[in-house]
Amino acid sequence: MPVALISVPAFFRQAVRRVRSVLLSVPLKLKILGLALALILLFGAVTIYKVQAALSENFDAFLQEESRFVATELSYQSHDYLLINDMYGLTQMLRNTVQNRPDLRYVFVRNAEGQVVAHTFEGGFPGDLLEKISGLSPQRSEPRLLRTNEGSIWEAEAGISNGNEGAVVAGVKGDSLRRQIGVITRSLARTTLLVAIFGALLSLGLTWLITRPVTRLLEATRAVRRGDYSVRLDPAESRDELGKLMEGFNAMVGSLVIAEKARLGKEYLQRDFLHRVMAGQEGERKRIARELHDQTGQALASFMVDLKVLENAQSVNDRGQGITRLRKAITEEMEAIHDLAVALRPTVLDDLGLVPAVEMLARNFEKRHRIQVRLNFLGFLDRRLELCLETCVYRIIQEALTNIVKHAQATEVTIFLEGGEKTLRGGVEDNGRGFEPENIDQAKHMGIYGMRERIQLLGGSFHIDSDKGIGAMISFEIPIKQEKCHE
Amino acid sequence: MSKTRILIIDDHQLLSSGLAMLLCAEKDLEVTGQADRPETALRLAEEQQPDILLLDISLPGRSGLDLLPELLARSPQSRVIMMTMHEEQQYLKKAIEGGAKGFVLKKGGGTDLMYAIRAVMQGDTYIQPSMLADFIKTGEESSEGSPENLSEDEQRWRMLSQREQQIVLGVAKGYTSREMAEGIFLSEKTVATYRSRAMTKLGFESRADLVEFVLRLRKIDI
Ligand SMILES: Nc1ncnc2c1ncn2[C@@H]1O[C@H](COP(=O)(O)OP(=O)(O)OP(=O)(O)O)[C@@H](O)[C@H]1O
Ligand SMILES: [Mg+2]
Repeated sequence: MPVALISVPAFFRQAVRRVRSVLLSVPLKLKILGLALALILLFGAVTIYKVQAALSENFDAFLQEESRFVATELSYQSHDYLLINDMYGLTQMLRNTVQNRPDLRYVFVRNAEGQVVAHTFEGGFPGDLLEKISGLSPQRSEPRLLRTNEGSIWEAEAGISNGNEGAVVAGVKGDSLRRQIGVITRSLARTTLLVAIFGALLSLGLTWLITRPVTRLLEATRAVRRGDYSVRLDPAESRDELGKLMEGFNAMVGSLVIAEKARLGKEYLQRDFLHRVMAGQEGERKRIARELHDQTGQALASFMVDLKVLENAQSVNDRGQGITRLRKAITEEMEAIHDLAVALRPTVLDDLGLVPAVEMLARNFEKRHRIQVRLNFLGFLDRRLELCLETCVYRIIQEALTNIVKHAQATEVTIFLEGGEKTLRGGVEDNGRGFEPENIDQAKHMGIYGMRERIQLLGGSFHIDSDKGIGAMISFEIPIKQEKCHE
Repeated sequence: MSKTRILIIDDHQLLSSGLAMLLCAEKDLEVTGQADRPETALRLAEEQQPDILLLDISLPGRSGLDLLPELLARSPQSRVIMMTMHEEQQYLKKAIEGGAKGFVLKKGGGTDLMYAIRAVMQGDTYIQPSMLADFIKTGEESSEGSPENLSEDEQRWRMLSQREQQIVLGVAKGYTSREMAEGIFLSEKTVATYRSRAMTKLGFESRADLVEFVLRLRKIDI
């Protein structure tokens, strides 16, 4: 069976990745808390370890020194007692010494023959210790370590009068020292624990301080997403980077509000525009219906009457006159209908294209208003464009001319159109009094808004350039290629 | 003497049969067919090779002006008289350019048509008198302007008003708006407006375009 071997670095990397992902997934509060606790506990543990290591290193040396010192000291004092053979006094002295030195476990004195003559053991001299007693050595021997059932004991021996009269043996156990080390360690541990608790509280407070603004921000963001733009944060709550973030957030919401307002405004305008376009269409239909009914219908009815009269006419003369009259009336009526149709939709635009349609528009305009129109067409030569594009441009020029009649008091108009490879450029310029496009109330005036709307629909750009002294010029540029033409 | 043979191409049956009646009443005229759609018209023209084609402009699906060259290709001897409701000069111009010999308005009610047929049969061109004046005028205008003969740059140059031309030359020569404003007693803002308008009309984005344009036109020397 194949065994998937994972090399050590790979395994290590994987572990790091896992830890990382776990760390990343816990909440901020836990992260900071964990960090503080880990730091404090680590520091405490290291301190305790270091202190213990230092202490126990010196511990043995100290005990050796102590045992030697005590043995030597007592060897001088024991000399006198041995001289007068006061064994009771010697034992008392030894006991006093043991009592006063907490680390001293026992002392005993041997005479020159090596027999134990005095000792500090309560219940008699322990037998196994007796076995371990070595022969008397004339010199001061090095302390030795005894392993007993009470623990390890350092034992030192010092000869009395250079070992001629016996020796003093002192056993040092170091219980109290050990206890003291224990006390120090415990107190260190307690301190660490206290610091850890304090650190935890502190870090909790800190995280609260840090995360509160973040939570606020989070709540505010949610509110904004729900569409509640009234939320504002108080940057004074935290004057650090988060405070800056809050300020930024407020600014963002502020501009969102403005953008939203603009959007709503535009939406309103568009809807309003649509309404008015539809109303305008309805009005136009009404006008046509009335025209057809009142004008054309009446005319046809009168023709019927005229025909009847003709039928009944007695003389050739009467008949001739009637026919002439009838023909004149019909001609007039035909003109009226033709005008009506052209106003609705110039067939020239469909049959011949933009340039002839604009030419016609301009010529009719000149005739009707006695304002000279200069035409400049470039790059057309019988070229036909998408119908929606042609209609759009035609309507824009139409509205521009209407505006010139209504507002400009101009004497000369220039229309230019240039059909390029990619775009259709054009404009209408007059030498009238000009105006300030910024001041137009779009709710009241639709003409220019409509031009802009039409051009935007075809993905083009629209521009008004007006100067009080020179007159107004509207210009536009529209892509020739139109994805969807609804005409 | 053989009769003049006429093919009527009009989608209004009432009108076309009325016309047929009217024409047949003349001794020297004969209506050989009536077509109400472009395909029929092309077929009949080819078959009959009529002397005269009476052609309406508004036909179903296709404009009579469109059809005109094709009809003439199929029946080269025929003389075409356009017969329409449209009084716009543009139609007339296009029709004459397309090879029509006559142009009459339907509202004339047949009288003009008779004149037209007679004139055309004698080799003349007949144009509805009410439209003739404007036709001559536009003809003069276009021969005067004759934009076809001008280079594109020349045509662009003519787009500009005199003031604009003046400013464009100034810009090309390197004068600032202020210098020009002082020179021609206009405000600096006005000069700037003229300049930006000229740029818009010419479709240029930079002064370099403008200078190049003026140099191409040889309006100034370097
Ligand atoms: N060529 C122009 N010269 C001077 N002022 C103009 C010109 N074109 C427009 N204006 C000014 O701009 C305003 C807005 O024009 P716009 O076409 O939008 O509305 P309108 O013509 O007043 O009404 P309508 O909705 O019927 O078009 C006009 O009221 C007029 O004051
Ligand atoms: Mg208007």
